[in-house]
Amino acid sequence: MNDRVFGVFTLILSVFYIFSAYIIQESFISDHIGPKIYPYMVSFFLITSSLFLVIKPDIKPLWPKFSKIVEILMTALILIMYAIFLPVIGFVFSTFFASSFISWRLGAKLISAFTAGLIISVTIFILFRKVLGLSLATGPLGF
Amino acid sequence: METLDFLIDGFKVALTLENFTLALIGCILGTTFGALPGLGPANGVAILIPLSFSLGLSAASSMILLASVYYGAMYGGRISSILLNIPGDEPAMMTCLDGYPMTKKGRAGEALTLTGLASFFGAMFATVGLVLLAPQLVKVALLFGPVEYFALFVMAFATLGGVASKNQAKTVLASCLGLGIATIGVDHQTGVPRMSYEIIELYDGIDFLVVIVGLFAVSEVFVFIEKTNLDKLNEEKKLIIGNIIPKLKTVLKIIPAMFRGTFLGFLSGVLPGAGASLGSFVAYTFEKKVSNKDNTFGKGDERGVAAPEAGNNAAAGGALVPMLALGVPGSGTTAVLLAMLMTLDVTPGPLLFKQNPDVVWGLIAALFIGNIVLLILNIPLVKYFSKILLIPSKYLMPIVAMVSFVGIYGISGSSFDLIIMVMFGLLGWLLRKLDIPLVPVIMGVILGEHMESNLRRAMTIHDGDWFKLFSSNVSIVIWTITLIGFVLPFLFRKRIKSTMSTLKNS
Repeated sequence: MNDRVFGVFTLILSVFYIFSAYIIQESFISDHIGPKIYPYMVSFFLITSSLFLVIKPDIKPLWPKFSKIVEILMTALILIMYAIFLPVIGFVFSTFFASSFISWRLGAKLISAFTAGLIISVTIFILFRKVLGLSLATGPLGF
Repeated sequence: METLDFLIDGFKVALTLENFTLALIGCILGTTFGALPGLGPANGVAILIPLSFSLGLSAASSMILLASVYYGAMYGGRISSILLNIPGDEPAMMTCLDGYPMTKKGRAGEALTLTGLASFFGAMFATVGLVLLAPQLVKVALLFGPVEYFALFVMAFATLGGVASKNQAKTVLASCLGLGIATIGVDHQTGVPRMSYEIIELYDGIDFLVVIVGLFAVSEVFVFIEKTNLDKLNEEKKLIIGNIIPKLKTVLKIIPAMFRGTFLGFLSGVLPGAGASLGSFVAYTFEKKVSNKDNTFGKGDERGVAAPEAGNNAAAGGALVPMLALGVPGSGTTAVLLAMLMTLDVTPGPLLFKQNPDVVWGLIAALFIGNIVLLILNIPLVKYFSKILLIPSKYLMPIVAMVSFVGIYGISGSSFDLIIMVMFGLLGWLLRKLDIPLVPVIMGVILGEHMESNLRRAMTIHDGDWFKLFSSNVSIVIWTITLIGFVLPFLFRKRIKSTMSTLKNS
């Protein structure tokens, strides 16, 4: 993907954005220009700059290998799962898994990755929950 | 001497045990964030804001903590520039040019001390400049109405790329993405939901912290995963610092360079759209023009490290001037600081100096104290900070990621926010790959609502007459600067590009 593809993508995005602004239900009390004009203005500039990208793209960026992109998407998926499971199984367990995974993908051996994950999750829990009193997610076991 | 009284009151705020401790912690964390490649000032501040909210710190205390991080990062950036030839953050890029050659000659310790001194000099001068200049700017700002404020916001975006902007279209595109995101949620003027598609979580809009931490911190994790072999590079390098005490002659030699760097840096900091990176760039280029008589630059000239370091620290202080006095930030990190103040119900701008003098003057006093702390941390103790560079990223990045999640979850307790944050992490990675700047996105998200409400207020006052946007003298001046600031990069781009590439090649 290069600038041109991204430009086309933001063009589609701006059409969607204009549509979203068009269907705003205006209330019967309104100020002089209402809630729609400003989004229209933003999309005007979005369209102009997107067109520039399509017409005059920069040099193509250096993309990583396909396997790396899959790895990045996997990490994102793990982090999303982390977000979902955080309130279900509690902070310490979910953080242990998520940080071990990142550490492993950044080149740590499995055993050291799990050790790092354990140390990170327990330390953060003690530091932020017990010492600083932040509200962290608690699972059925209370941590 | 009204200012002096305020300043004394400020020191009373800054020297309470709580605030002094926060400043100390901020300085240590800031130097660390600055030193670690990939974790810049904006990143550090973004991760800490949610934590300071969750801990329930007051506006003055949060500001002291975060501004110390901001200043600290400017100091810390030089450490890895000098020792590893990898800039710790963007403003420290120019310090590599003469810093690393000094290391190769076995003068790393000296380079660190001299840059430490230059940083201190630049930052101190800029803080004094802030004290003198901000109240004057406040007087001007009192003349501003919604029309002028709207113009000022447009100016902040138009000049954002600065003279060094690579591609103006990309800056505009990034700003629009941010401004668009800011319109999601209930419209503050009429109370109707916009762009929310009946998703209740979106009615409140997308929290700027979710966007910032996603775009900066989470995307950093993806960047590191992309180049996993970075650790191996670092392990091969040994950090030898050596003697840290330079000869008096050397110190005297860099003094003029520090003055020039500080002046240019502060100037580029105060001007809209130019942050610390431009400050150090201008300072280095100018210093090279003035002092490079024997062709020593790029080969480890002391003046070549002192000037950019004084420049970026002075610019960092200078960038606080428009942020505090006008409420219009010129750089990414100051935009983040601004957003934090607004969330704490403190509105920067002229009224800030009247309504919350404790915040302004407490902050300024804390910056003075912080500078002295940073000087101590960054010269005698620099050895310990350079050890941080040896922590492999495979253990560091998980910590960064998890602390970011803790912060955001601590505020909202919502999984939805965390998922959106990961999405922004991916978006941030994509934008970085395409060389689209992230700072305008952040600025858009933070300033969008204010920009729009000023426009709509102006239209209400002037009965929908759009030409009134260009009617007052002040607004005409602002629009002119906007136009010049936007067009100038087109004229200068080639020259700056060629200077940049010759600097890189040499």
